[in-house]
Amino acid sequence: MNPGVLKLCCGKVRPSPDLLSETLQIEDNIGESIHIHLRNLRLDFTVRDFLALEGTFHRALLRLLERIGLNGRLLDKSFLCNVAYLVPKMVRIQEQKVRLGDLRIVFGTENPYRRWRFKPIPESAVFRALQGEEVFYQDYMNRFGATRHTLENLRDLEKNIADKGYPAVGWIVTFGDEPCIRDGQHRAAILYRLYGGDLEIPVLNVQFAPSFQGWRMVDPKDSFGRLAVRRYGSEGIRYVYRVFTRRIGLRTAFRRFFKEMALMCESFR
Amino acid sequence: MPKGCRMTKGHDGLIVETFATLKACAPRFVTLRNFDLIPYGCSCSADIDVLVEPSAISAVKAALISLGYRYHPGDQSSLYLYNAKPHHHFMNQEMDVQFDIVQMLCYRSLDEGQFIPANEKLQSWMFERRIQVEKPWVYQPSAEDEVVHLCGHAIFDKRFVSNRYAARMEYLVGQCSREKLLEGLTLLLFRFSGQALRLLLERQAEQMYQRYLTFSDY
Repeated sequence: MNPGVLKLCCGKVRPSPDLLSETLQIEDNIGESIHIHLRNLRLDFTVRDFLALEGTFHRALLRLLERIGLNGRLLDKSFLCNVAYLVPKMVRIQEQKVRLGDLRIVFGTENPYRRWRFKPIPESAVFRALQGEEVFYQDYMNRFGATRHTLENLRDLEKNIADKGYPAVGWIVTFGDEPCIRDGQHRAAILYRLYGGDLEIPVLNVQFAPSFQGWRMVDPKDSFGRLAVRRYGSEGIRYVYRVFTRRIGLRTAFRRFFKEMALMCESFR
Repeated sequence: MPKGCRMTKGHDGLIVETFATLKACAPRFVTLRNFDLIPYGCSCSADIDVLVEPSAISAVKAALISLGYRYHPGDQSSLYLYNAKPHHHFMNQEMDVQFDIVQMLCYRSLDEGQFIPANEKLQSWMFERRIQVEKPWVYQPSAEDEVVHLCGHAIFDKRFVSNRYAARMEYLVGQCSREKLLEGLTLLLFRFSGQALRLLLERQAEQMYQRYLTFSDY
């Protein structure tokens, strides 16, 4: 047994009745081997072989992107990883001129009915950190952000943009007709602070097949509407009674119902 | 006597008596580390770590309780993988003495701190190659086994090689058979063992944790 195990990443794959688990985990057993656990299968790699495998996957992704005329090397590697599943549905990537003030950032919330809001760049945690609200930024990143986004990295990026300019430090990416920034929120906040909201900048805009809508950050207002109609609109109190009281009793059910309604109302303030 | 340490007859007497009791009820036991602190520097916060054969655990428990110790089971919230067993803590608050008795050599995983047993050979060597000494702790590991254990304890449990542990390992390495030491290190650290040995020989043991984390030649 090797206690020197570091989990490199983990996720879930589609469960399969025959193969039991939905585990996908990559771990480094220091001094021994890299393990890829895929359902009930374990693959062992040397570091060299694992890096070769990673390189192969990365090249395959770049080739897929080349198909739609994009140089994937322009994109941040971790962003590319996150959106790899969307690549087969991408049809075109184009450079677009956008006013910084028209772009929106995705702002995380802890409200279960509204996990994010679209906000103008000056309201982002990054912009606020650049204005000196560092504690707020760290708290926000601990709750919603990636751990690699430290204040030191932000300052390095600010210096890089001042030295090299945009987009030499990496592109800002948007999807379809949505104004929200999918990658490059930090870059956008720094540019906004340096040059203001009227600056026009080129961004990479990714277009998807019209029949595919899976790329959208579904507007929370719409999802709320659908949820409210589905859960409380047509069925009304009968729904609450039927579903909740069966398990938890009438009083608890109503208490929970009003709590949920309060949360929903809160999200639209 | 080290500076800042007490010399209480009750405190030291209890430690000596406890080791004598351990010898009587657990023929195969070995004190694991921190010999420079026994008995003067020991306290409830600086406990004495002892490895005991699993079959003797219940006898040891009864004997130490009869000596006035209060029994505390080990960390129940942690995960114990691959049949790892929790520690047994025996505390005498009045005398400010605590014994931490383990029945198997376990280290904490770098991942989420789960307890993972070390290779069985390392454990059996601890007993087979132990050295009897004319000191309160009676038995201590051979130089090779102590170095391997301190490497594991510093890297996995502490995630830091203190100056004290580094100095002890560098002192012991001169008394070790290189083959035996490398064999033990390989069972614990796999291919990092060669580099670990080099660091010990070059008196750079403090860097071991950093080097271990960044090691990629495997």
